Amino acid sequence: MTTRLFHLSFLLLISGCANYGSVDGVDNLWREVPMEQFEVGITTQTDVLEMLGPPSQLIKLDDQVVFYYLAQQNKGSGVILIVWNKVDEKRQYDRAIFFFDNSGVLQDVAYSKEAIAR
Amino acid sequence: MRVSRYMSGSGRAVSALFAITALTSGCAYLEQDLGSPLALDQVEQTEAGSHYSEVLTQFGPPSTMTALPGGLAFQYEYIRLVEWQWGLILPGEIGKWIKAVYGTANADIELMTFIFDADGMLRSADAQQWTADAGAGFSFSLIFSVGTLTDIERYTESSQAAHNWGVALTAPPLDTLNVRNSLETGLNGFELTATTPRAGQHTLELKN
Repeated sequence: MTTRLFHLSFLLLISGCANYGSVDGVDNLWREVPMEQFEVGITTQTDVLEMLGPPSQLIKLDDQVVFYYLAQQNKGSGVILIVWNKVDEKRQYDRAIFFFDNSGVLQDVAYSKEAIAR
Repeated sequence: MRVSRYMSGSGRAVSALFAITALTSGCAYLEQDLGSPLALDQVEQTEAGSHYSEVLTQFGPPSTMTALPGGLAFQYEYIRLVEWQWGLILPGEIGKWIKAVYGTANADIELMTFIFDADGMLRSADAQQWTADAGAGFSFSLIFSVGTLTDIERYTESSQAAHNWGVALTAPPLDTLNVRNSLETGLNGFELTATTPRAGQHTLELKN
C-alpha cells in the first residue's frame, strides 16, 4: 500500500501544467470606437490618428493611403504528464483597416470579426 | 499470492504506467492555431465586379494586402500547425540518461486571394485549402522539455511583419539592397506564408 502511494505521489510530483499568454502590436483602441463613428467622406486621417494612434502599417496605393492596425494575442496551455504531454496555443488577430483618398479623407473602413477583448 | 493481489487493479495500472515511462520517454502533441478558419465557401458567392468595400464588409481586413500596377490585392490566411513528438530511450549506460525525441509537423492552410482593378472592382478571386509538411526533426537533451523540433517558425513568424516596421532599417545588407522588392511593404505584392526564399523577389537576399 505504501509503495503504491509512493508511485502515485511520484507521478503526481513530476507532472505539471502551464498557462501563458502575450499581446503584441498596437493597442486595439478601435474596439472602444463604434465603426459608425468613422464617416466615409468626412472623417480624416488626422481624426483617425487622434482616436487610434499610429497604425501598424501605412500602405501607399496608386491614389489611396491605407492605415492598417493589428493587435495579436497569444494564449497557450500545456499539460505535462511525462508519458503524454500536450501543448495548445491559440493566436488571435484583431485588425482594423482605413482607406483614405489622396486628400486624406476616409473612403472605407473595416474591423475584423475576430476581436481581442480589452 | 500476496504479490499477485498487490499487482491487481490500480497497482497493475501504476506499474504499467512506470513500464511505459521506462520504455519510452513519452510523447507530446503540440497544436497552434494562427488566426481563425476562413469562410472559404463564401468566395464563390462574391461576384466579379464587387467593390473591395463589399469584400471588407464580408471578410474583414485582410491578413496582408498590396498595391498592384493598376489595382490592389487582398490575401486572407489561416494556419493550423500540429506537431507530434515521440521519445526514445537510447541503448547503453549513457543512453538511458539522454532524452531523444523525434518530431514531425503538418500545417493545415486556408487561403483566399482577391484581386481588384484600379477602380477597386473585383477582377478575380480564389480560395484553397491544403495540408503541407512543416518538417521533421530529432533532438537529444539531458533534461525533460516540451518544445518544437520542426520548422514551424517560418509559419508563426510571418505575421509579425506588421510589428517590425522600424526593424527593417537594421536589416542585413542583402535584405536592405533588395528592399525595393520587399514583399512586406504592401507595394510589391505579397506571398504565401513559408514560401521558400529561393523563389521570386527574395532570391536576391540569399546568403548561401
